[in-house]
Amino acid sequence: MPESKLLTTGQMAQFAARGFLRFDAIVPESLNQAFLDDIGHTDETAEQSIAEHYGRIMSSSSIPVVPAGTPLDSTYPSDTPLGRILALPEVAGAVQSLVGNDCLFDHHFLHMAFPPHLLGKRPLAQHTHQDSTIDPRRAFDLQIMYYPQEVTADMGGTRFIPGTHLRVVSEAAISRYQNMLGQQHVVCEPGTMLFLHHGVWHGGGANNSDRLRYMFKIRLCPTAPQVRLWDTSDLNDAQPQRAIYWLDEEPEPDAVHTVLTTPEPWHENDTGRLDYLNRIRFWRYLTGDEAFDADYWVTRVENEQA
Amino acid sequence: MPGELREHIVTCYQMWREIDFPRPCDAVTTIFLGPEECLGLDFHGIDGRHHSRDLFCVEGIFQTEPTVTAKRLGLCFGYEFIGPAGVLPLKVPVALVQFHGAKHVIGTPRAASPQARCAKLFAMPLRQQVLVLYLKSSALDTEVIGWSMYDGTGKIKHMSGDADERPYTTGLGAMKDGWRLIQASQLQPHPSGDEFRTSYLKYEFFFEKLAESAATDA
Repeated sequence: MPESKLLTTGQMAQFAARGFLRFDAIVPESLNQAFLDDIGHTDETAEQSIAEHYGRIMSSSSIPVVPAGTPLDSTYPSDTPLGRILALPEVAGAVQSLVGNDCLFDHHFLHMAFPPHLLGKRPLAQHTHQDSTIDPRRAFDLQIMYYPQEVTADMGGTRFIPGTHLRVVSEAAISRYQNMLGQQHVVCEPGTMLFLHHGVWHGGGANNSDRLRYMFKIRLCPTAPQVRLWDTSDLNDAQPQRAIYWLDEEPEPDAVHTVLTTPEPWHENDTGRLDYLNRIRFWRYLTGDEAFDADYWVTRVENEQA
Repeated sequence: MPGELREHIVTCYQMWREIDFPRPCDAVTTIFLGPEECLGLDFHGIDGRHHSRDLFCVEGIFQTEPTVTAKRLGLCFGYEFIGPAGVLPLKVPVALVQFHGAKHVIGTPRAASPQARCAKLFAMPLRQQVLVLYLKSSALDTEVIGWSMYDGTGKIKHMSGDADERPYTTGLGAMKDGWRLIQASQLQPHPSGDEFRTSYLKYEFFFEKLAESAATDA
């Protein structure tokens, strides 16, 4: 079992509220280069065609062909770049905290966004979507997005909308939503990773640079309830309810209650409140504490006297 | 001249012949435009003389009846012709014949003035531009939280993630800028047992503008 650095309660609350955690340059440059070498990345100017590039990756890369449902421990040999990346303490800790040590491999895919000179036409952005299909579970899968190179703004890094993960929609049905207030575009240093709840709305950007852009995605599934898998030493179960309107002081920004009731820029007036309720219920699942509430949102609507 | 092009010109010419233009003028100029460039220009005086600028050979269509052509076309407009040598001292209508793919479009670059009966024939075709705004509530004067645009003129290809700044702060702001509301999402009751589920954006408003365009790409 690799050494792991578990997530904190604050990080888990952020994940519960916004559906993602971002770790910039978490993978050392030597490993990024090893990954790029392994997939057969070459100087873009030497590329002949998209088909040729795919062919080289399929024939030479050590990215394994793995059946869905394989234990993650058995998926990536420890001496390959991906095996070494997943063994990094921060990466292993995030995986353990979110889907547990016994999680299963679902699938992986090397996403490539080709620049105009290789594509032969103007690149288009991918429509906004939610992966897989309608998924009403309270449990969640983890999607890791790994960026081995620097991603500049014109390379069209992954676009995602924080806080959309608890919305139950049908995959590409949300394609019509071109832009949303608060959307983020991944512009990052090499070795950056995103850890996403499977429900986060996202899409690949249009690569208008002269460079190929890579993003390697891994989807992992839990095999047990995702309850208190992180470092809970800083979890305060006895956090009391606070006054809702008449506050003497600003709410503690990092307090779980505050994080779970902080709106996203795209929140509608009424359904933004429903998102609070759903975050609170998600936190109940993560903590196993079915009495947890923040600002009385769930208690209020559950107050049904016999 | 390509056969297809000739066919288009003949079609346009036949349409013009059926028009009873009300006002006289001195000459007529016809400009032939391709999808990317000017293919040619033809110039006719109503005195029967044909003053082709020879930028494009019209092959006898107008040469055979230049006076009739000029009268029928020229009576409609009476614009000044601004040529390479400047403004000619003539009242000259300008008709555009545009070729784009397999379709042709005839019109005028100064569409505001044609007689009403000719406007439909000579105006550039209209295309729909659609703006979709997602608001914070069902009220049109609440804030925009999402937006999409689809341009039927083909001038701009909008796509996901192409703008981090919203085009209008509120739905009302779009209306003040000339966007016409054509559809608003309905307020639906919440199914029992599913009251707290969140899903698609709830307050969706479709707006449109109509814009002139010769674009005919699918």
